[in-house]
Amino acid sequence: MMQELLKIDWLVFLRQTLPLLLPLGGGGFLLLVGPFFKRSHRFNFIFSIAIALLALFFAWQEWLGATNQTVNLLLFDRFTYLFAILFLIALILTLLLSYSYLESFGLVRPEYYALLLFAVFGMMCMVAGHDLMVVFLGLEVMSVSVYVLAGFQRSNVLSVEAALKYFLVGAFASSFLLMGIAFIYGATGTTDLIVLHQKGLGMLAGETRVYALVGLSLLAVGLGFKIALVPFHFWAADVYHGAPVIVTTFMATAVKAAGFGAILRVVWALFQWEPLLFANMIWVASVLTMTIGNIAALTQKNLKRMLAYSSIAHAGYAILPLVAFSKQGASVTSSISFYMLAYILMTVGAFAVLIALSEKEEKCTIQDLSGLGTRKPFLAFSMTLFLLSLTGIPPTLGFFGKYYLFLQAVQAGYIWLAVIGVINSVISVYYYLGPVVAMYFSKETADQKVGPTYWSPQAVLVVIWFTFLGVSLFGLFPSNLLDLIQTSVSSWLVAGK
Amino acid sequence: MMITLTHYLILAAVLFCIGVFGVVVRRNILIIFMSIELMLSAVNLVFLSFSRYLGTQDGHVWVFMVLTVAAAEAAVGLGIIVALFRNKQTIYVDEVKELKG
Repeated sequence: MMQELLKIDWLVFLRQTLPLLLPLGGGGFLLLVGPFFKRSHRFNFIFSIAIALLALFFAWQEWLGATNQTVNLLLFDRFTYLFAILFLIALILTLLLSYSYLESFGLVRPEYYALLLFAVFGMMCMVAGHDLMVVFLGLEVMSVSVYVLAGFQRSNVLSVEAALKYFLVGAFASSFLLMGIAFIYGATGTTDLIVLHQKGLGMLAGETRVYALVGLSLLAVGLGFKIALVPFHFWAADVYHGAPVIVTTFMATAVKAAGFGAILRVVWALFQWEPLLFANMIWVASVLTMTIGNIAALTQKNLKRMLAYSSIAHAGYAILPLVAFSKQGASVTSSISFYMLAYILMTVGAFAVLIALSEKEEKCTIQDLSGLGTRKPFLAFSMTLFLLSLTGIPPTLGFFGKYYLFLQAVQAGYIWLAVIGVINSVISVYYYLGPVVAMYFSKETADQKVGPTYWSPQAVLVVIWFTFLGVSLFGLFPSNLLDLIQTSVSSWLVAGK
Repeated sequence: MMITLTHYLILAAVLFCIGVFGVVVRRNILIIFMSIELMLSAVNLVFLSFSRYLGTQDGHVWVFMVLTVAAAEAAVGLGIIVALFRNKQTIYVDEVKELKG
């Protein structure tokens, strides 16, 4: 063990882990020094943004020079840094949305920023870990931080209820996940993802095979809870609805992307033991998740709740290409990564418009949007773009994201699955266009005319502009972005073999 | 009678199922929480028995990690329960249903 530790080049290791260490150290610094700066919200805000930007810069540097090295339990390849960049982008956008929201809702506390930074550290561990232990610990660091964030508005009973539900379901799911890992450990004697990938189920026989299958099913249940797949989705709508909308933004984007990043690693290592069974499982889960998510979204009046169900439906679309994982792993992985990026941009955009409308209370019902087209033309137009992108209408980023997802299924011969996906997208047009109709074709209500104190803070507008440009420009020119993601993914899948 | 790996695994499975049953059936948040802890203890038992059976130490390390995570979750979870009690004066989940739609 000593020998191994001495062999590591610590300076290189420090440089490689800097994107992970910065959020961790920054969060710790805010908690230790925060009390002395308690009055200065601005300091906490600028400090966290600076940390996130610095981490983003180093993650990009490391992406350029990634060597696919594994050091102890961490895997430093381009896939890790790609997801690190995704999380950091989501973090920066969330931070920009938070400042004015926290001020106007009286939630100014340094812990908010510290918890966001810790959560991002956990997410990076989930993707960087090449041992299930690191993946699990990262997942818990992230989850525990987000439980607290969901209940951050602690005088509001809705927020506390959301935190409670999220906590109970999350802890319940974690024990399933752990039981799954325990059985996989029992079957193979290791929890190292690379070793597990090489072992394969073919070599397991008799009792160990039973242990492995029990482990895989429990693990699948645990992960299904975490990314809200049907039938383990019931918590998501309540949690997204009750949490403060800035936290909902973070949960719907970064937390979901982290779940998918970890799932891709785990699928690569474990679920290829039984490719056919796995493909059937994914087929059923994907169809159920898409359909139930979309149908439940149809009747929602509250946009937060609607976007929550839509996020369930989008998880269904995003796991769809996994049916083809054993045939074309690299392109499946890159299509999912691409979709995560697209999903982060369009969902943050849609929530940012809602935040721009909420001053003293959250305005998230469809009625609150009525007549927005004349009052705030830019907000209404960008909201329309984000909703169209979520529906998957060209030439937006969401269209290309969905196109690559469905393409994988078609190429592997799962035509019907793609057809069901397209039918679901058609169903989703109904509820995504509801707000658009309200914005452009319905009259303002009386009290909206009396109090037009629309207050759109600069930082929120910056986020809307950024996501707006991202969704529209990458929608027109997606190929560079796709190349970048394919490069990141191929280096990992080659490295593992 | 020899106590074999299977005995330990069956005991762990029974504990785990009691935990799941408790989470699903009971309405008191503290008892739900205790049931989750019971599930985690079952996990620890599985790790330890496999570790002993396989003769590797990884399982022991996992148990430490699981215990640590359980402690962190307990701290946060109890905090959330206190926050709920301040708002609603109840610890029964079926009385907590403001969110619906």
